[in-house]
Amino acid sequence: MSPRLEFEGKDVAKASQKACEELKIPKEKLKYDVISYGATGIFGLVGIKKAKIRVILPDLTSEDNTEEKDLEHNNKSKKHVPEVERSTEQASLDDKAIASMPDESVNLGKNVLQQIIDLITIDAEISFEKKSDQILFYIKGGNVAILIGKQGQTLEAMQYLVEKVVNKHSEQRIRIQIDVEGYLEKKQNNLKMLAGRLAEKAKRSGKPITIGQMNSQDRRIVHLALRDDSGVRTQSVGDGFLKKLLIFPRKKYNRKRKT
Amino acid sequence: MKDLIKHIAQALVDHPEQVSVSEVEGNQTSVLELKVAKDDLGKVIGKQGRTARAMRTILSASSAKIKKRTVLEIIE
Repeated sequence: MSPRLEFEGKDVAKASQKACEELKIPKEKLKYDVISYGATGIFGLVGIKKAKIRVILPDLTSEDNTEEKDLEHNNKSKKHVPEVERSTEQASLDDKAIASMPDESVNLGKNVLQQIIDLITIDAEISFEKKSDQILFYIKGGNVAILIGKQGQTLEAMQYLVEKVVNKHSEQRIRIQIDVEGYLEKKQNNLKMLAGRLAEKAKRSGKPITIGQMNSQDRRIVHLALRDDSGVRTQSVGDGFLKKLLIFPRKKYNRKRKT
Repeated sequence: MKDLIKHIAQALVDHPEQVSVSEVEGNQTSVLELKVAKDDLGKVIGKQGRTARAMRTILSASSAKIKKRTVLEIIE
């Protein structure tokens, strides 16, 4: 009996695609049974069900062959598309991505940031850390209050400008984060606490609660903080880069039906 | 300050040679006038004025040190 694996996706096509990618089998060779077709629900919000398929793996000897071939193929073609997977060869690809991140980008970013900072304050030092698609700059010393600004707006402006400049001269998209003496972490914790508090409030009152004017990173933190809370759901509304974030209490009967 | 704005603007646009910044100084406020090529106007302003706003924020932070105000004008 050949081994079987289950895959989930938005619909059957997505699920089978995912299976192909993960198993590195061409689409034509993939054999699967559909367990459930999934449903998009009302307006894609309520009652979403994922499609599930069960993939029947071809017998192992032939699979090994195809996998080896595919690996060679992957190494050639996939180099510039590092994917988030936990297999070993993928990890080495990630390392390559880090190594291939041009030092010019880092230096350019550092130079621009240094110029900005020197103008704002004196005696501030920059250190940096490279991650796969992200550069983290740490600023130490100088006038911290001015560097951060009112509600972190100076920090945000610096981050935005440095990101723009760096990405203008780089092919791959690089995200920039700037931290001034642990401010980022502190802000993140504050946001998480605020999210938790407001979620409680929403559940108690049964009414949606709005957090006004947040940028994408802050919204992401709140969304992630409340992702595992079964009592509420979160949604961003509005236009532009500053949006409102709504926290809805989930209806009680919905929750009961699920558990 | 003038140099910083010039440097940032030059790094953002497609025609860096056409970037020019002039400073009109007053007692309390100085006005920086940024001129770029017509095609690059959108790049220094940004989506919903975000880039322009970021530059102004940095200007106001840096002029706090010398206790002055600086206004950034982008000239068409």
